[in-house]
Amino acid sequence: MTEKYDFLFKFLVIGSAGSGKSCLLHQFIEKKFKGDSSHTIGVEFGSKIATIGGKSVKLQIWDTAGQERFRSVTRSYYRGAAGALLVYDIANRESYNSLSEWLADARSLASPNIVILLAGNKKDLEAERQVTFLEASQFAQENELMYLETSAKSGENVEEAFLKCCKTILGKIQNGELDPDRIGSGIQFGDSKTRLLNQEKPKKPDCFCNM
Amino acid sequence: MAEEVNDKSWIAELESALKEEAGSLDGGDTDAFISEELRTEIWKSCLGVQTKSTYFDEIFDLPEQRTLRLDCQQVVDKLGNDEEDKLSVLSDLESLLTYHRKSVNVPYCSGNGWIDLLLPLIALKTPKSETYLLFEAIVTKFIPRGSSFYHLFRLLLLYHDPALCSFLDTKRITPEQYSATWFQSLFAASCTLPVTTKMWDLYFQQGDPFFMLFLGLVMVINSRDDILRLTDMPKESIVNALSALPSSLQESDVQDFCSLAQFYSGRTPGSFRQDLERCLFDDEDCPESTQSITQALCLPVNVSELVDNIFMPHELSGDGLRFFLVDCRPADQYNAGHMPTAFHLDCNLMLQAGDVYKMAVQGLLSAQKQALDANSTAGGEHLVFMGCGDLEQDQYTHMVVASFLRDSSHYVSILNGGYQSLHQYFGDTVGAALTDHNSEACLVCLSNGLADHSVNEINNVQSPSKDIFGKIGAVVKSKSVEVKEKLLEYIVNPGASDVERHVKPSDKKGKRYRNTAPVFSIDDEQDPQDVSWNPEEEDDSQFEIVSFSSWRSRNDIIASYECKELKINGDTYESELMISETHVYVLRHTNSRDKAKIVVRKPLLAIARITCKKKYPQIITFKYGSANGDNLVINDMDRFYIPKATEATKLISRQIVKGFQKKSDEENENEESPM
Repeated sequence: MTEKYDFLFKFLVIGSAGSGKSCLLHQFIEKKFKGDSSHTIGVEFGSKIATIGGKSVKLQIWDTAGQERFRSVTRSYYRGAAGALLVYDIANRESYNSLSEWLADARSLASPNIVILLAGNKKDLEAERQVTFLEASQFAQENELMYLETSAKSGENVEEAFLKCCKTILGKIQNGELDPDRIGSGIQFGDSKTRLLNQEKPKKPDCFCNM
Repeated sequence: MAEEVNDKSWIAELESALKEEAGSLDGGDTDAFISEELRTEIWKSCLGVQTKSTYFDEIFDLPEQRTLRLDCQQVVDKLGNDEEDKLSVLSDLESLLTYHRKSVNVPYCSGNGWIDLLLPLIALKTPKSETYLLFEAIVTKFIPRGSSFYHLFRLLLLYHDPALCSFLDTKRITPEQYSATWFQSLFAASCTLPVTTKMWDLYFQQGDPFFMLFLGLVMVINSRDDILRLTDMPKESIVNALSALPSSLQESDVQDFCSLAQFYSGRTPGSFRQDLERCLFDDEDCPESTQSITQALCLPVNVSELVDNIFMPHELSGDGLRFFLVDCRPADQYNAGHMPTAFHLDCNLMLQAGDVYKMAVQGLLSAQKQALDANSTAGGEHLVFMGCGDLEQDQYTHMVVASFLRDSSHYVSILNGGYQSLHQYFGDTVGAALTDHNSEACLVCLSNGLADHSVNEINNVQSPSKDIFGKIGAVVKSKSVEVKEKLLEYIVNPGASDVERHVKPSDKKGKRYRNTAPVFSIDDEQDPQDVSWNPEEEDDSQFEIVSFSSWRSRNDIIASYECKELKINGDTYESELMISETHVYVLRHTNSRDKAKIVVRKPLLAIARITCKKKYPQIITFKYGSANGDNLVINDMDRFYIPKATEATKLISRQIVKGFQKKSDEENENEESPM
């Protein structure tokens, strides 16, 4: 019951209904594909401890329902998220088209510093692809998002997506861009030791060389 | 002239007969069905249609006139009437529809149910203006507007059959897709004419516009197995299969079908009716209610329904609907005031310690089962989850509710407005109604800036609550490992005596009366006046045992009434209320026939107020207190269910008035004598 970790990150998975958010989470945590999954009711929750750059990080992941009817419930979970996976389905144009809406929600409701990774899911459905890699990567660039194409079915890039996001958050903590002590940062220290270590380091807010 | 008078009295008689019958629909009496000759009059009376003539201008100049005419033509062609008949039906149909279209100013479109609604009415062969008035009445009273109705339908399906609802949701099938034709036409579009007429007979007498939802619900749940088997079919064919369900209904099924719907209606919390009637059936816009229903996670229940249900004794609630309240707020908030029967489930556990949370849920389920088996007031099949009442703070509550829904738990609802509205509902009496209420820690009190001193006093002297739920709450508050282990122990061994103590009325000791809920805990802070009233109770913690027969034959007892004591924690006791010239006594039955416990012995003059429940006039509350200057200080109360309530309260108030007169006379004498 007593888990040891250095940091705890609050993490969101958002995106249109049916884009595979719950499957991504399931694949990340259980390393299995959930073929018969049903729609998400409200919000589901999962957590996992990952080791990134020598630091152990507990990811507390909120998997939100994509259906419109849950919007008012799911919105209440945005606040204080440190990172988010914004998911669309490469075989479903509509899910891609609504990305900017989701993005606006995340930026306004979560912290403005939230680290977001765009995940083009269902990479395995190459034959039915409706959104090209190039197009989405352009969108990501314009909106300052990281970008990966993933497949919850094969597991390709799933762990990478989550870890890449974490790495960026850790980097931002180390270079002082993110302050874990600020309320609503979505970051907590696992135990007091890390806190001390962190405070010993000189803060260099304008220097990105640590990344 | 004479004939007309006759005619009217006949209708009046019919009406009164109808009203009597409306209540006994479920009794399986076939009289609910109406003979052909009377149908028109009965429908008119149920729908409140006054005979008045309408002027049809017969100008057919709608932009959509062509569509309308074509649709009418098609429908009439399908009817098996004679050519001559057809022509008159066709012209009536078009003229009625055109008139309606102009008067409501809503464009006609194919399949909006108007034609389907009109056909059974035209079949009545009444004058055209009457047909129209009937039609208009049905449209205004029974046909829902907007899409909220379908969201509500989904919530009801979720409430009664979560697995089926989830199946349809996952297939992205919304109720609109299959049930719009049902509800827009009151099932006339999908059922045969005889079935429709029969159903309408029952329906109009019922007079409940929401009843349609339950008819639809029965329709869907009845064929749930067939629907679930369609899992590999494309969405469209499932929708078609669903919307065709009512067509298989036979005339002989209608009665059963309606009683089933009634059964479901009785097992559904009803407060959505008050909250939604206006926005579903009136033309008013109420974006708030609409928003709350379209975005609801599960069926909402409002505070007054919850409170009534929880404080109402079993005998009155029937067997249908009993709530089991789950308080999802953080432990410290729970400990600063909660409903006496509330089970505390700390939602933060779900995040912080998944295993402990799972066990807490198991604890909840077994506590619920035990409470049900013990027939306790705390027990109920219907789960009501309560949060703080603030969307931001209720994240975890919603997550817990969502997880229950995901596990396909039946009967899951959420308290509208959470603790905040509960607090608001009780107003100044919140200290008496809630257990452990502490206005210095209660968030609502603090935010109201209302640290009511008198409420405080009562609560501070209260001994720690003895029930298991309180204990869990208190235990969870401190997070040490040792305490957590204890919590597990409580939860894992639900059979342990602690849980039983909460749910078994037989487990009560006499002392319990004093120390349970705050209202009754007053004895601990006796003020001097109180002591002088009933010195007997002061030194004896056990109730005095007396003989019933000797008490009944006592000369000073004026009257006695059978009653039930209703304790705030939900326990009830068979008792007898006895009234003497000066006192009111309550003798509680014991296991032995002639022995009784005197549980209440109060001077009549100590009764400061007698109140009764609006809905249940047999439930009478005595509030005891004294006048302190101009203020009335209430320091104790008892609640009873008295079958002869009116008689009893009349007698008591008469005695009180007499007592006061006597007292003031004496005082006057006393004042006079020294002079």
